[in-house]
Amino acid sequence: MGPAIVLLVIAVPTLQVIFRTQSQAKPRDALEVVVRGYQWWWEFAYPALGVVTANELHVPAGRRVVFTLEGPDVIHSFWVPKFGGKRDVVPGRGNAITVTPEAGEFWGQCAEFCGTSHAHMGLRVVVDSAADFDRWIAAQRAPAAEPSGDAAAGKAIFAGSACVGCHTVRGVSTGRLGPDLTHFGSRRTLAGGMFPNTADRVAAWVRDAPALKPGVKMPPFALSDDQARALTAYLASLQ
Amino acid sequence: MATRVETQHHAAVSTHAGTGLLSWLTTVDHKRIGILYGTTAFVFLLVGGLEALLIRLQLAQPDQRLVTAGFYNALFTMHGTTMIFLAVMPLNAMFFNYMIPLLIGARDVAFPRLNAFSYWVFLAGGLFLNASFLVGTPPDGGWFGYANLTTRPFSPGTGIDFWIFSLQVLGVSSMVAGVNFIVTILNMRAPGMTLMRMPLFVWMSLVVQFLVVLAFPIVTVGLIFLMFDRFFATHFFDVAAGADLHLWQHLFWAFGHPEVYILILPAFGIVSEVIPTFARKPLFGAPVMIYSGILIGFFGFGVWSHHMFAAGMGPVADAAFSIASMLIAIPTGVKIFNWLATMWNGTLRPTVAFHFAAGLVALFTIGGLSGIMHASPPVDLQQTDSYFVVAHLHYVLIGGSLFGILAGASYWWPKMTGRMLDERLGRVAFWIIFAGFNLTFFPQHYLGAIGMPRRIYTYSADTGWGFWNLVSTVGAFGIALGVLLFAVNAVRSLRSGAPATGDPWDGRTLEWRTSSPPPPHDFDEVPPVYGRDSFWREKHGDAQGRKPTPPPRVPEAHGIHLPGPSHWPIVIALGIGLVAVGALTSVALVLAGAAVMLVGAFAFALEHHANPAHAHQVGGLGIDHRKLAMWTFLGSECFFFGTLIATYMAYKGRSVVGPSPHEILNIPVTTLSTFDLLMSSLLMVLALAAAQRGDRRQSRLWLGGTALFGLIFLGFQAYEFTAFVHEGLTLQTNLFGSTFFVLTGFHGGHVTLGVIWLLTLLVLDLRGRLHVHDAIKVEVAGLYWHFVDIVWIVIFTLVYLAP
Repeated sequence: MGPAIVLLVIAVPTLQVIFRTQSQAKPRDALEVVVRGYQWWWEFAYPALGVVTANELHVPAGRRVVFTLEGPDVIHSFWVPKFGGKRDVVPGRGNAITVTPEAGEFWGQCAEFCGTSHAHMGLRVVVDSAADFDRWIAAQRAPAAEPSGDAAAGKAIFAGSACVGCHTVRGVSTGRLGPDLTHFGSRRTLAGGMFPNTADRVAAWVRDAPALKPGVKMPPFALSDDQARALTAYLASLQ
Repeated sequence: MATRVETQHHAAVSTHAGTGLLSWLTTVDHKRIGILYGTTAFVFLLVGGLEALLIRLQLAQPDQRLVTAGFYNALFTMHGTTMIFLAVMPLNAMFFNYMIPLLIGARDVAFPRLNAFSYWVFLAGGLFLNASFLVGTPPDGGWFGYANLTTRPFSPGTGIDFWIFSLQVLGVSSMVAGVNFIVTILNMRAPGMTLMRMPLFVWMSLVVQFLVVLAFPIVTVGLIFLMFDRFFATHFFDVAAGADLHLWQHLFWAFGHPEVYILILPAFGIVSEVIPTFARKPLFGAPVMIYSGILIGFFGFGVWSHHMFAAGMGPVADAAFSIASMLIAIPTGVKIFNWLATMWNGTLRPTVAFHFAAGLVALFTIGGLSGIMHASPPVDLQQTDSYFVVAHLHYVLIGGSLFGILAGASYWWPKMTGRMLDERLGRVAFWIIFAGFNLTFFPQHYLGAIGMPRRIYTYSADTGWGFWNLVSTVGAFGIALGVLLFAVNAVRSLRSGAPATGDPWDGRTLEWRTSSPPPPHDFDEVPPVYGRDSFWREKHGDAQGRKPTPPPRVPEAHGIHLPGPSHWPIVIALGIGLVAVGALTSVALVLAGAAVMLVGAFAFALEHHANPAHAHQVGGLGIDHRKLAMWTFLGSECFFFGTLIATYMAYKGRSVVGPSPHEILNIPVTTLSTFDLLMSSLLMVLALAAAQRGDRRQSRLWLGGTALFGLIFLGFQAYEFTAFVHEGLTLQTNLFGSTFFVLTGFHGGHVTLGVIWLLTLLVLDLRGRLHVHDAIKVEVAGLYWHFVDIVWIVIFTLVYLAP
């Protein structure tokens, strides 16, 4: 009898929370973010705001956010521990999870085993004040910065190489296989949250990504020191 | 205990005298097969443990570079698969084999040669899986093998193929063993051993065999789909073609959750034997313990989707599976309380076996409590796929299953070897395992709670997970040391342990009533059964000390008949192994393996047929063993075809390109073939009636007629398939093509097998070797035949007629 009562005490709030958190109706004022889980990085699109970014998620504090989860390849799971709860990104099913975040900076990680570099499929979450979030959106909507000096040389390397086949830099390239780099310089981390976004790390990455992240689809590039420096400067200039 | 053989021996008894290597390869003695299972599984336990230690070493510090990401993924895949299928299940099978006949007062299992077959097939599957290491492509998709990650585009190598084929091979082994033990337990109990008097271990084993027989076909079908996707480009898990990736998860967990109870219930049974023995009290509330075990097995089938709360099934499914999962805590809790009540006020003897049993009660309670948390989706959504779940499942599977197995091993060791273990060394091993276990897994609750996900090969230092991971690694080496000490104790006992009497623990159940180890024929006389704990009553009397009067001794009608050794089980298993190897290398090898299997199967069947002692196999239920086995198998087949049909229905209308069913299905022609198959059932009835009358002219006619009608049906199917291919529908065209051809193709395969079976009987009949007492063989074939016909009626209705 005792255990049954304990279970009843657990069951009632469980059912309440299930139906509260999974109601189908999307609140009208909610912000929609489309989350796409790729092997092994995240893309975040804000359809109403015309912004696409990768691996670093910005959302405003105190407002409901509906994350629509799209899987272009295998099953992943979108998990930011501080949001409480995860939801699988199942290709073809269009799962969603609704969160009202509190301000702060958090990390998250893919929680469903998704292949070789599953361990390196992290993300950063920045929950801004409403004003900061609007500023961030405005900056992200802006076209890519026009580089000068070293960075201009780097842009030429970028535009003249295989980079454009996979990466979008708005106004320069339209590749869709890898992360959108239009505002790469503004991000805090690199390669699915693996490294801080510093010149050294970026240079090492563009030269030999598979050595840093097992199984990654980006091939190694034979770049001279000057070329690597220029390309890194260009990427850093994409603020 | 008298070991004098009082009844006259059948000649076959002497064939057991050999002890050489060959005698082990051909043995059909349940005790020897149990020892084979135990030693093989212990080796695999060490392999799985080695994999675990490598995993723990890699995670001991942040950013460790001991193994690569790819190899780490292979390690956790192989660790899970090995521990579940090659260690815990066969260790339990060791006890099923060795102990069940002894516990129910039988001399062997119902089908001794099939029992040997199960073992050799298990060995073939285990070796095949681990051969993947030798060729450098171990599977790396997780023990749960989620599609579509495991389909060819995302896992192009042969690793997943090794995994698929070895699981299929191991499934054959488990299925056959499951049917065998169900028949053994239901049909071979000694007189007086009513169901409610059966020891708890036998009861829990019975529930487990039903779970095996009903759950394995579901994953078998899932693995067939995955295999077809990988080898024949079907679309079962192809999202672009309209597939739903929840399909694999449902099929896998509909098997996977019952599998959890397959792993744990034998341990519950063992503990229910060990605690009463060492508390010197009867098991508290034994009937309630039986009912709660049945309930756990029953509920175990209805809770699989709690593995999928994060997968997005919607609030209604989440709520239903949440409540069902919580309900399962009630019968489980009942068990814990009843064990405690059994110990209460008992005269406890703290043997090593009792230590492990009490350890199970403590640790399983912790694992059970975290399990209740996972039954609540809002909580589970945070904990699932984190280290919290890793902690939970190891509390259940090590703290539960493995502690139960170690309790059983310590308890029955004297019976199986005739030697005592060193109690002092055993206690040291227990405490090291107990401490190491908690050190390893308790911190993992915390790691999960602070966000460490499962199945990551490394983590960065700024996560702050380093310290508790190091602690966990240290603990893992503690477990390894403890298991090693347990093994040292075992080896020392075999070399120089004190000899064990037949009844070293003052036991309660029948296995203690014979010598240690028992003679090949187990019991010199069929033991009398006076009630639950029969042997205890015989020695100490009931609560008032009144001893039962022995029943009058009835001489055994047929003498002691023990089956002779057979080499066909290992030959067929070899054929299965060759097919698996061939599937990854060459079609020629597949054909060669299939030929070996076929020849082996015929020789196996004829070996049985040639022995007149096999004519009478009517057991305690008044049913022939073979008929009961067929009914059990058909129950399993219901789940097999049920899964195929359910998938067809679930995928109906989801194809993104044509042709669709109504454009292509030829209902008039199929109505004819359906009528033909129905009529074949009528002929089957006539054939059986003739065989029972001994009317050989008629039985030949109708057996041949049934086979002919089956062949006509197959002709219709060949015509239909050819027509469809001409009209542009193949396995690869769309989801309809994939589901239709696999469903009807497997039905056609069943019909083919039935035709071969009928023709075999016909040949025997024509050669005058099918006597009246062989009519049971026609009856069993008939059961199968009627079942296959009924399945076709369901398929015809749902696939062809339903709009």
